[in-house]
Amino acid sequence: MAKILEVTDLCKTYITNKRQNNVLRNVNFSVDEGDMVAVMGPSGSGKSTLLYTVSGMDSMTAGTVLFGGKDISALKPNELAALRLDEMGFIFQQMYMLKNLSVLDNIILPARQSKANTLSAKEKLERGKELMRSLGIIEIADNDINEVSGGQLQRACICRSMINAPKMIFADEPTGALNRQSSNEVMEELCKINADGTTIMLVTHDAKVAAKCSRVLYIVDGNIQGEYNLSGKDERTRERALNNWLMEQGW
Amino acid sequence: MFFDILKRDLKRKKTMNVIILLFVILSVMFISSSVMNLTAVTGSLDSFFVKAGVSDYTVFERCGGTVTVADAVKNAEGVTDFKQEECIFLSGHKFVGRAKEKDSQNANTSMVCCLSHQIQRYFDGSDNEITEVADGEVYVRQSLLDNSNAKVGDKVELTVADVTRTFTVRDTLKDAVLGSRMMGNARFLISENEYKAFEKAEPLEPYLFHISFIHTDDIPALEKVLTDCDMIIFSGDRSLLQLTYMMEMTIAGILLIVSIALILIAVVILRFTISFTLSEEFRQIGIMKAIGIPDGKIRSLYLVKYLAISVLGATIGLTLSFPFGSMLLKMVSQSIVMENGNSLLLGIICAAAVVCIIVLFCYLSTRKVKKFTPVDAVRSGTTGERYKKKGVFKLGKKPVRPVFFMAVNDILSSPKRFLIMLFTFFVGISMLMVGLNISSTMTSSKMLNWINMAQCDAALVESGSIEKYMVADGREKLNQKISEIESDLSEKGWEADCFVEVITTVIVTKGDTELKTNGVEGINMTPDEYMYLEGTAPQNKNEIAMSYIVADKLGAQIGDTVTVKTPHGETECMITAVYQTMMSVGNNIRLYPGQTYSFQNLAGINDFQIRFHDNPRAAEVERRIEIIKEMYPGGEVMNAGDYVDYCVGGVGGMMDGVTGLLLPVIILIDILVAVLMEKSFLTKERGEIAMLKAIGFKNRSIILWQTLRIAIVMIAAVLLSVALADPIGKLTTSGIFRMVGAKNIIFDMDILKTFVIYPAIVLATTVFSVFLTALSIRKVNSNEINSVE
Repeated sequence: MAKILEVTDLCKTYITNKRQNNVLRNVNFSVDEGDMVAVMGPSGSGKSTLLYTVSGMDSMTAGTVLFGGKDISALKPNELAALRLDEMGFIFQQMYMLKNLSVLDNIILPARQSKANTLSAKEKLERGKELMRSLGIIEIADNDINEVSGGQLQRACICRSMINAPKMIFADEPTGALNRQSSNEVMEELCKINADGTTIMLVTHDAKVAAKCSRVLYIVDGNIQGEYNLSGKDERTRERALNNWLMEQGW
Repeated sequence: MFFDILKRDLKRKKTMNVIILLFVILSVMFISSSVMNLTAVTGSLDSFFVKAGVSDYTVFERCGGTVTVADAVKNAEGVTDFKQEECIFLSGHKFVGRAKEKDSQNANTSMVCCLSHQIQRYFDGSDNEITEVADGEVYVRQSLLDNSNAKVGDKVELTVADVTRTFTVRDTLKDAVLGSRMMGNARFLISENEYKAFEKAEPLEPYLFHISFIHTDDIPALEKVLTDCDMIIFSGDRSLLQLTYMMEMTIAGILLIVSIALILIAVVILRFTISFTLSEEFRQIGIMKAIGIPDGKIRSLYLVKYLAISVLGATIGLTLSFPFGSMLLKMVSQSIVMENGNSLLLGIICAAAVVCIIVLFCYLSTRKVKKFTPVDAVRSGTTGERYKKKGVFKLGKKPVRPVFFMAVNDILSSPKRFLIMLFTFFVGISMLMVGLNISSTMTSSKMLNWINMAQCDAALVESGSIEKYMVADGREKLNQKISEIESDLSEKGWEADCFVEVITTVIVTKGDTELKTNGVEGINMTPDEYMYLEGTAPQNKNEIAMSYIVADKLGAQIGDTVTVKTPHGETECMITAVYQTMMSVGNNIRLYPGQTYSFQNLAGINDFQIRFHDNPRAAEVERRIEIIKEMYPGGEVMNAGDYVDYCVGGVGGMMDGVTGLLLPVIILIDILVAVLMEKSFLTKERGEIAMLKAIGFKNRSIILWQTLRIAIVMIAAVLLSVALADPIGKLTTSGIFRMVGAKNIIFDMDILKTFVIYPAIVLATTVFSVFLTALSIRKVNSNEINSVE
């Protein structure tokens, strides 16, 4: 499998009140195309920072991140924005959408903004509807975002992240604000997307969510302490196996 | 905790609070200075008239009348005192500047006087009474110096018939009777010796005249006896003289209007800011309610903040209003001896009123606090029952750029918020347009209609005209001169009409009402060339038209018959039309050609107006004017616009100054409003901006989205102001113009300046300031998406 993301000696340091805070320390890992990687770890260990840094949303202090072979540290802000728009998708814990747009308009917004997406306006609209249909939320297409439930909104965010057919989706605690049922539904959709060939990297606190992934990275104090491969493991036992491994890591 | 929250708020919303503070400062500064100025001018005008010894009634009279004012007042009841001052009309005056010689204004309206003949008191530029004038020196009013581009210290040549003498301008003259800009006659105060030199001029009698100062208890009785005097050129009571200072008060009046508009804007902005702050702080308010803090306490949190801001702003504004007011008052104080009243108390009252208005408004605006519940704190500012539909349009497959769509959709989704912005921009730009329209109208040829004169392309102002034609065969001489001018122009290849307005004093009677007024006749011009509000032009010598002011005074209407009395008899005339005029503050009637029976008794003569037959463009008119100047080196030649400005005492130039002051004020207000709004949006939309960045929107797209919204509102405000410029102009200024004789205002708009240049300056500076403010989105990180509320 070709590698879509290669991270080498990644460091991220914040200076707060003249004190140096090393959030990421020489992180090394890679993600293969079609992989579904979960990042776990205690609060403040640097999970979200890792996600934002490797996706180009935050700058790095040292190291290299190659996305699809491109060194993102060498890209200018506008090139990074274009990369995020056309080749990456994002899902956040807070289901942020523009308040004055309908759910469908929010979903097709990145497609309309993208120059790389050569579909016509009509085709982009159809693709938005198709994604909503496939995630079972077509009935809320014309609703305002404050008229729908959290689970529906998060699925709408998944649709938005998929609209430009990205190579990879980054999700920061995508189920963190959802109830168990909505959480399961969202994870099912992400697994389907992954099965269709889209690489996914997600941050989670939930072992049940992480158990759906093919690989789990465990991060402590800015370092990847361990890695657990779940691929090929039985559906019914992988969650327990993951829990055991996590306990070994100090979870 | 209370003060901690307040402290945090002041620190966090520094820019917004500073902008509100600036609004309060500006409002207080403007309202205090304009109210203080307005009361100072009106109060000072009364005290100036008392100090100067202006009588109840003043009459200007030429020598040689069959019944003089001195004779007439002997028969008047109620007259308690009568004094006369002798003056001499100049046949010419010319300022010689320090650097180069400059032509003066029309000379035949100026006069010389000396202190030994004085009845009223005169004051110099420093408000000291003038008790002595040295030989070779002269005092003259500031507005005359302004019109002639002259300064104190310049030389001026004064001529009466065959005597010419040169003087140095010692200082400016504050002259209660003849000091206002609207007064056509200007006084040169010289020494007794110099005056005696002019008395030797030959001939002298046509230039001699008297100013009578009459104290009376019965003005109507006095006016009745004065109707027998045939050489009166101007007469009026104290209130009429005070009315001539109207233009001096215009600036103070305009500033008062600006101040009221500013307070309106400040209050609207405050309301916007409070409701914005409250909607943004739903979580904090919800939590405060949840822990049991009562509504009143929460409201007082905001009230204390705005009270502190208004008190601070009012103190600074009040302090600044003194130098600012003095600066604005400078022009007025050049012609009036100002009284030092209790302006501080007045200023404090104004400042306190602004604070009260703001705090009261703040109190009303914080009623929204009652609606918030603790549920808001946990439900992102909305309770389940109060969801509102937000989006108006759907992007769908519309062929528009997403950023443009987002901007338009935002405006239409939150109309109230953007309407506030539209209103404040609209008020500011409209104020500017009103000023510009008055200014351009005052210096346009269309203004001739307002002063009931016929349209022309140019005017020739000739020194000493009146004396030449105040003879028995004056009409023939004037017609001959007109023919000569037409012939001279024809030789140059320009067919043109030349015409002149002559003014005599007439008495119009209707029933028991008798009124002394001016009869105006156009020589070589038919009455149908003048503009009338109603009716048709007089067609024969038994028909007249009259100003609506005269008609109102007489209680006459079109179709009524009145008696027009001149020294040579009475004529029954039917009123065929009513018109408006700002000349003589609206007091005149229009006579049919030939109705001016005697040129010997002329009260005034205007200038030679020229109208070319081929309707040349402005540039061609200017070219021809340059040639005409060479043809008549003794006179002054000007285009119609400049002639209008000259006739109304340079008011157009004064209005230019006012609009020059308004432009930066309006720009400042619009910038403050726009930046305040943009800052509010940036605070509220931080999460959305972070999200847009995260999903790949470039900074420039987000900046464009932010800027476009306010630019669209600004463009809408400009278009609305342009569309409503005329009715708003009439609404705001009709009262002032009605008082001076013009009730049907037709603005002559300078399209380029009013509708393009000035709005473009305001638009460009405001949008640019929003753009600069929006640049701060670069500091928003896409990874803040999970940390913003």
